Amino acid sequence: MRLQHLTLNNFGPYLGEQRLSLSVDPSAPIVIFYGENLFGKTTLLNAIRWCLYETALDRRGERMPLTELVNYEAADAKNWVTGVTLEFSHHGQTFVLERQAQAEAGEPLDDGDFRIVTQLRVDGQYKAQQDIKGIIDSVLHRDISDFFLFDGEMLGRYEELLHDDARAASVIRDSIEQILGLPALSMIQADFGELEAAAMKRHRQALEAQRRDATIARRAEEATAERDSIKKNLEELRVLLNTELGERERLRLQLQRYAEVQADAEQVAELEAEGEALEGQRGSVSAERRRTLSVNWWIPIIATAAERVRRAQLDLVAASEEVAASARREVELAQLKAAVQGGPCPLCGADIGQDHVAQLHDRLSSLEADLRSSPAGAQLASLGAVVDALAKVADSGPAEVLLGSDQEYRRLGIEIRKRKRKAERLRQRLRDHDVEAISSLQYSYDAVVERARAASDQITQDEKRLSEKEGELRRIQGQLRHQPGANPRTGAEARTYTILGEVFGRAMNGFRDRMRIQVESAASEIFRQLIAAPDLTSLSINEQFGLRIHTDTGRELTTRSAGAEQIVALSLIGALNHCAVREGPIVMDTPFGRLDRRHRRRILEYLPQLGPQVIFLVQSGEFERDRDLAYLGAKVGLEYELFRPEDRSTRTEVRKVV
Amino acid sequence: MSAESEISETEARAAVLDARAQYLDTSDDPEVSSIVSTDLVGEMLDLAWLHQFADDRTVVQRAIREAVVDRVTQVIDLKGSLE
Repeated sequence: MRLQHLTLNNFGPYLGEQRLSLSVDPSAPIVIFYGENLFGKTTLLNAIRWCLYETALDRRGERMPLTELVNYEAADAKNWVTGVTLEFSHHGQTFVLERQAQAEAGEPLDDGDFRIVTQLRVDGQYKAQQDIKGIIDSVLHRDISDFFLFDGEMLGRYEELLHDDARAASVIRDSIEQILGLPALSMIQADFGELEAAAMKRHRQALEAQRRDATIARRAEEATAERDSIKKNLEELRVLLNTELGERERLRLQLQRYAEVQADAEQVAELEAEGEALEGQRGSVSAERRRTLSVNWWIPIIATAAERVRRAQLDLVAASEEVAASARREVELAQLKAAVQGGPCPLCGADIGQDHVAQLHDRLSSLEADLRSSPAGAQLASLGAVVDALAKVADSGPAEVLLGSDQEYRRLGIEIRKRKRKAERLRQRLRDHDVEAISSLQYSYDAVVERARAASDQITQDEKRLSEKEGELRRIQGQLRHQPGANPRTGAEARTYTILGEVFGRAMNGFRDRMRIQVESAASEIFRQLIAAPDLTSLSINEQFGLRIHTDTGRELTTRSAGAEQIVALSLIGALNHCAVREGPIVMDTPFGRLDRRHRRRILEYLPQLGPQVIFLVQSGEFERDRDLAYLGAKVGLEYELFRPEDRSTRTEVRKVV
Repeated sequence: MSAESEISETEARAAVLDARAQYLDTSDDPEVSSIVSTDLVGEMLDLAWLHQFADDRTVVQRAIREAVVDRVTQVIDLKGSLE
């Protein structure tokens, strides 16, 4: 498939009709669209997707309503018509696919208010409406289109494949196997089953017509009916499982978006629970504090009592010193009294002169006055009693217990306030989200996981029953084939289908393994070209097509950067395109977002090898024309610039870069 | 990309022929190898490849039946002539 022209009419920011040529020669297969953010690059990818499959996807991978696809200015002018025409070639034929959506009456509210008209011409001949989808799928099946038309911002979908084996098994692996051609074997195996049943029916009818061994024929009929019933049931279960897996994926993506909000909500709940527990602890501490105080009522005056003790002890020391001084004064007084009564000095024996006697009288008077004012022994005893009494009250043991309680009470109060403040901040963040709806989403997700598991279990059981029933049927049919009178050719024909069915059934596993090796080899080769680290030399692939990076020593690289993830995903896409049963144009929107300059250069140099037509839609942050165009050499066939006319703010036009 | 479908078709053919050989190894019926010949298996694979994306399977089923009936007739006729 090669895209020739894309015509947009009132589609997204493209007002009116705009026709773009995309036709390039395989020797210069690159088409570049330069456009800044919001200028309509993704719209171009969506236009192709919508025209082919009637689906446009937003950045979250969800289907966009038609009301969002119609150009706003056209809608303001009540012109609710939008359309895309895609002209392409495939296997030498020219296809013109036109899809148009028009509001049936007034302003549309949802897709149901639009009428969609699709027309397909192949080499100028209009095709019947009911055949269009089948023809388009035969050119580029919708299930494999993600590997051709992809949004760089959505590379995460492929990266998840590299991590989450279980989910990949349900969705992407099937698409990969489709792109690699596995359905060819499974479909013809189903054909063999149907043809075998038809041949056996003819065989039985022949037998019944001859009324020979009708019992075996009836048993075969019954076993066939039972087998068909199990098959039908299995088909329904598989449809149900696919639906549930699709729903699980949808809910998982929603939950992923709400994961942060959910984490906030859970943290609020945790903080509230912790707060309550701390309140309980604080209550216990408070009760213990009250109990301590009721027994040791004097604790509040401990500080005062201790101060009093200290002062009383100082007074006591001072009083003791005063008593000692008084005793000394009394000795001196007695000596002075003896001296003033005449005679020699009682200490040295010398005579005391009259002038000294006068001085001694003065000193005597002073000492007598001091002794009269000094504290009595009773005062000293009284102070001692006070000190003893206060010291008992000032015992710090119970007080320390109470102090510890006070500190714990305050610490708990701080912890509670911290949690309350944090919870309040989180609640403010949650205010814009419906937490209950998110919880409900989680509930729905759990329920759908359970339903998918139940369906999967039932499928396993039914597959076992089917296998048993088919064995029984083969035995009966073997008996039937050997009945005389029956047409030997019909019996042999049925048996041939049985054998072919088994051969092709066995071949499917072998084919899967072989293609996995091919994809692994191609992906490793591309990876080596793209990655700038010489020690990272290969990729290995698991049964779900998940890829692992290996070093030159064979060690698996367990931690990968976002850029490395993108390179691995691109390697897988390149490998799948290399091994695909269908060729298609590669349309990449914003493909270099997470890459450093060195890796961007390597990918640009590799791009022309990716396919015969590679269209990439880039913004200036990821691709600078003056710098990066040289990496593509002469491989660029067409360049376009998306721009906004000056007087318009939402309308985009396209011009060729010369 | 110029080798559209070549890798997978080549691998599919190898896988089918391997599976046929394995089947013959485990079968004790001498007629199997003559009926389910490598030519018939190859023809079936060609048909499978043709219609893997097709909506209308009846056309391919008719072609499968024609090829199988031809083969069965050839083997039975050959067996008859030898007897």
